Amino acid sequence: MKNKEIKRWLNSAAQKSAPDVLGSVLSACEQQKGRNFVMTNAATSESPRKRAGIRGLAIGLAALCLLLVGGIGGFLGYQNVYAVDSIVAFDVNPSIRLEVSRQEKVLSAEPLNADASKILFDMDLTGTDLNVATNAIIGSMLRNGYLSDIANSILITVENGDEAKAAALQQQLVDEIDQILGSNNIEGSILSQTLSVSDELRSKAEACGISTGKASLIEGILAENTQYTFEELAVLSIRELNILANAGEITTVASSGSVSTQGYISETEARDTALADAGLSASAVTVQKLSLDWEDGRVVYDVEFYDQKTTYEYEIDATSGEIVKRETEVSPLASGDVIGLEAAKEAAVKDAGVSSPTFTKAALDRDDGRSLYEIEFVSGGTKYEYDIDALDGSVLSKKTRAVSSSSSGSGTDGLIGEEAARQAALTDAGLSASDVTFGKVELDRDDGRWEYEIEFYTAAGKYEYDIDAATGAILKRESETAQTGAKPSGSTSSAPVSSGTTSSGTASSGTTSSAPASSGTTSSVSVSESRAKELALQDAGVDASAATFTQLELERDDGRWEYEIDFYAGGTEYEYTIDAQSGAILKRESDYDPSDAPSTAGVTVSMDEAKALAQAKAPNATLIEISFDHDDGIPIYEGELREGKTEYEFEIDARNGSFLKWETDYD
Amino acid sequence: MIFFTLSEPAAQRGPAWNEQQTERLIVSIAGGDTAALETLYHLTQAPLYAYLLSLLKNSADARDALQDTYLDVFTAAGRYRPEGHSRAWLYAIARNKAMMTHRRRKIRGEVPEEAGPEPWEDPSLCREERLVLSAALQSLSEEERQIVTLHAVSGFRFREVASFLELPLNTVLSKYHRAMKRLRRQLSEEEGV
Repeated sequence: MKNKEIKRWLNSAAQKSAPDVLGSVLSACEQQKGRNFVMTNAATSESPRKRAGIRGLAIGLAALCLLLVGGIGGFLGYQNVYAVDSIVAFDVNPSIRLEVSRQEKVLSAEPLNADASKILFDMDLTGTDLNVATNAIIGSMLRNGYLSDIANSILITVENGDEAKAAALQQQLVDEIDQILGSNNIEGSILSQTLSVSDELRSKAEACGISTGKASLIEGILAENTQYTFEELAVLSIRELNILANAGEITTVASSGSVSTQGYISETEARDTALADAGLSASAVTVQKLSLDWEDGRVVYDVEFYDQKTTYEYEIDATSGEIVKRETEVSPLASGDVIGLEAAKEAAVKDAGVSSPTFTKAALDRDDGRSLYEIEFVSGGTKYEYDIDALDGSVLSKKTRAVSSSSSGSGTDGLIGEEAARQAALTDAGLSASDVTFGKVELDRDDGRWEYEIEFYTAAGKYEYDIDAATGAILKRESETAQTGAKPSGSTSSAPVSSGTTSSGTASSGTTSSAPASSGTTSSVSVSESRAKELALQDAGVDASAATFTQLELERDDGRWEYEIDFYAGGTEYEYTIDAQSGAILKRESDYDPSDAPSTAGVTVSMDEAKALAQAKAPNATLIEISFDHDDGIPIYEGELREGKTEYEFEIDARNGSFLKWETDYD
Repeated sequence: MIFFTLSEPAAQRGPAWNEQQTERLIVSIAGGDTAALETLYHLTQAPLYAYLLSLLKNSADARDALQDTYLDVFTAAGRYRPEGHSRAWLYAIARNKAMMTHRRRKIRGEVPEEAGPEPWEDPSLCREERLVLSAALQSLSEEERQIVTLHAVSGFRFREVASFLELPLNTVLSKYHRAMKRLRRQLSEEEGV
């Protein structure tokens, strides 16, 4: 078992075995609150708990005052200024509903789903001009990655009794958002519509936890295309709906710009490629999954569909359209009559005891020879994940977790800004904005400082950066690329994207994973350890004399031999994974913290010298691992050599080269 | 709308910690907001439980300590100073709770093993989860268990583990690597069986 798997199992064990003590905690807190209050009134002791009670009361009073002021003001002004004139809804995946007065002031801003709560987290838009609110909302969606080069679709819906006025407002908003997106170098795909909502549509929308605008768009798609149901489409994002809307000819929705494909083939093309390969037509199957993913060093579409007998899973290279993986298994429909998606959703929601959930996933799947529905939904800030038996509707497993929300807020003055952070990352990677697709740009607080967390993709790989938001310094860089050689270059076209992965079931030439999967020998290691070190140092731009190696390990992962090389230099911790056959850098990570440097006081033996000492004791063995450590304050090298079934473990005093341990073990 | 599954880094080092959000929650909790406490609970409960288990090695004790931890969070939130160390604050409360359990057991002479089935006997766990949990709890020292859990499950960076446990970073790194190696070896033996 590999480190990665151990961590994964530990995490899932924690998730599963953690007991639910929330109920008892909350009821104990309620009792605590009561006690605090009594103690405050008694006002006898000076305990900290008492002070907390007084503070709580003060806050309560302040809140009450605010409420009164707001209430009175609101009531007096209601007749003229505070009458709702229009309703404006923004749907991306976050869905936000604004009530707007005749003077185009925002009267209320309501998040309609969990993503929207994230967007509105610390914004108070009440009383602001509509254009200011629009700017703030779109800005937050950009910051939180809901709108980006790829995710460029937004639906604007205006409801107003006066049709002409609604149309004017619609156009105004489209222009405004187009401009905001344009200034962020994003070519927006803006869908817009005016609406007079029927009660029926409203209740349908409410039942699925979506905005009436999104509901109306779905109705429009359904009018053209009968293969879907309303509920199926309700869980799709606006981008996905946009693609469906583009496929048909929806007349009720105005559309500007086009859905971003950013050099990728479209979802429809990916689906059709897979269907053609399976020799099936779209009408014969249920499409379960159709989404972009990052797999084995390239951007792919995951396409999954099933008919009565078989489930097909494809990965389609999003750049070339080539099929990189195909897998079939028994269809979830094969084991008998299934209860249907709606019944499964109902069973899950009933078990959770919640009302009006927002479904985020509803899919039929097969697991351990059993057909089940995977149902996921969000309600009241909690995300529920259910597996429902597809034959009898029983709950097979369930899991809940809070929906995390993050946002940038106060205290962010004097930061370099998102654009500068992006640029810093790009410059470091030797890429330009046109080479990459941004996956995430987020401002976060870590270790008491603001950092931009930036992710982007090229055809050759994935990059992650943490940029100090005040200084622009690079705090962390990490990349996984399919490329061989040193640092990724700016050109994405020259990268050997098709190497290193299986291709259409036939062995493709130039694969990097040709090591026999079952063998435990190191015969497929053609890059020497010193060469691997060289490659890592060269890539990091660190001189060998400045580096302190802390870990050097030859490990087998995903069917290939890799060197794990860790070292420190100039206050930065570097972690590299290098393909032991091709020398390709599979992973690089660096983390800057001057306090991290390990103490090398008293060390006179270098890692290479320690290796030579160990090697001399077992000349025919292969060095598997060596690391620099401190044991009870003594600097040591410890490591492992292997020769056939024999394993040697050693510890060498780094001050004088003496052996502290030499152990021979037979597997 | 997020398209890319954020695979390895997140999965490998536990969930991301959102300092800003957490501090805001603590401020709300200080004002008596139980909904904020609920959110904090959902965000932190699983890794926090894992940490308590690493200290107590006993499900029932860890459960009690988990409950006490959140109750303490509720009463102590007003004294939290928002200086960007909310995770260490939360875990320090948990550690105190675990230490109190140890002390209580010592005074009363209780034997924790009497309290029920072993943590890895939880029927909801799959085979691999049982193997890994039992190996981690049985073959690692308490210090190693803490280091592994804090880093691999709770998502502490090594230097955060070091400062939380008041150990030199080198020690944390070497103990972590050694502990993982031991786990790897033991698990590959058991997998072979």
